[in-house]
Amino acid sequence: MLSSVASGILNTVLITVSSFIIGSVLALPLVAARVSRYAALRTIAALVIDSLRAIPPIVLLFIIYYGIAQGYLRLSAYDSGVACLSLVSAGFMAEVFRSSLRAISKGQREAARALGLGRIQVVMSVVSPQAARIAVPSGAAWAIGLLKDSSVVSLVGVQDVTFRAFTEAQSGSSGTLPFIYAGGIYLLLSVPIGLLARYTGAKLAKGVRW
Amino acid sequence: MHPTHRPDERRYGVTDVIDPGQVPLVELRNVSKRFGKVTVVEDVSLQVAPGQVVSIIGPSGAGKSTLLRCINFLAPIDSGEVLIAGKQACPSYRPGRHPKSRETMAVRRRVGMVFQGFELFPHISVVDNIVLAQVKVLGRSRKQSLDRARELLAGMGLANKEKAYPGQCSGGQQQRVAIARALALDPEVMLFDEPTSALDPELGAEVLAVMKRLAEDGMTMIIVTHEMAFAMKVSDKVVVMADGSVIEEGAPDAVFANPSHPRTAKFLSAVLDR
Repeated sequence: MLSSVASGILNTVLITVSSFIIGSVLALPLVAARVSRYAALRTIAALVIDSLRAIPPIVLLFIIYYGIAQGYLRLSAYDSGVACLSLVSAGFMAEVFRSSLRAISKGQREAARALGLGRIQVVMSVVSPQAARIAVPSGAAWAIGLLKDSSVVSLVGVQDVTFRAFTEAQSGSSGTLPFIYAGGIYLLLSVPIGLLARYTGAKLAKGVRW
Repeated sequence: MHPTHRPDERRYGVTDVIDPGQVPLVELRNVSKRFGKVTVVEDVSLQVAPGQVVSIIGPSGAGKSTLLRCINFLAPIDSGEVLIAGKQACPSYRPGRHPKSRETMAVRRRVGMVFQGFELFPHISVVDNIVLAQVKVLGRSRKQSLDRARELLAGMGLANKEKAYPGQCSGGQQQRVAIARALALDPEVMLFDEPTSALDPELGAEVLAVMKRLAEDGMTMIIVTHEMAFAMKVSDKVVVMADGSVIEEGAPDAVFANPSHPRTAKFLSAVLDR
């Protein structure tokens, strides 16, 4: 029974990791627009980010899977799940990046500009490396949240840990045990992410680079 | 370009008398700067000759730091002109617009700045702080930049701090690194924005010693400071600001011993007679 539930791990991990990566990449242009010097861009970005964060993942998933994916775009359940969770991640990671950028004092930017660095150089050499370090702990916290949220894909038939637990509970002898196994698996998967968050957070507090 | 100064020449402020044929290295003409509705700098004109050391003093909120930032366009001016060596610092700049990056970068290449809060980059080592802009801005090789950084660090008595991170250095050490970081770009003029205000007196003295040596070596310097003894000893000219305007300027001994403006007298008695 455990092995049956555990067979969903690969899908759970793949969906979480790919959504996190795609979401983080999508978050970059979003956050760039969000802190742009043009008010219109800032407003649009704020709207997009807030919408992505406000819509429950399950609702977004149904919109994508039953709405868009049934039409022109042929998306499998798995792809719909990744698309949904990537979008949600983009909204959250954009906020994570934005608050990390805000944590870099204005003085740092000014010092960089006073040295004659161009706007892109200021961002690339001075602001982003510092902001990225600050983003790691809250990014890791989001990754743990995403790992749990990835269970929504079971509702459109992706065979992840939750889906396996569900089918096992319906067909097997116990209705509870498979879910306890599933819970244990999610817990174990989140431990390394949590450790990474702790480790980097502690380094950060000491002001040491890693 | 830099005239050599004898110490006694400085003390009597002889260099304050600008040769009429000499072009000021930095010149502000009727500069004003507003933040919203508040006018922080109002109609300030100022000339700084090559090799001159000018101290700007005055009460908090007088606009001293803002004036300094107007020179390198960290605070783009709302009216007036900023000239470097007789030429418009940012020729295409129009108040209310963002100055062109290319032009501000060119200004900042010639004008170094040191901040009250040091503002070293905490994620890279001391030596990399000094190397960064040499490579990115001047296009020097890393090898050349390292050599220059090490030479400057040695001159500051910080050779052993090369690989340390800023967070592992004292405030006085960090500020000296910040000075080295600016000097590495071979600026023609250095701006100091209250460089010792965040330091206790002993650490501040290390920084002042470095600045004094720099002045003796002929560097053109504009210093916003509350260190009156330093302003007295090292500067050729003292500029007193209050409420956004320059209310008095002259040789330090004249200004300190015989202030002509009652506001200056009030300020000086507040800081000197404590």
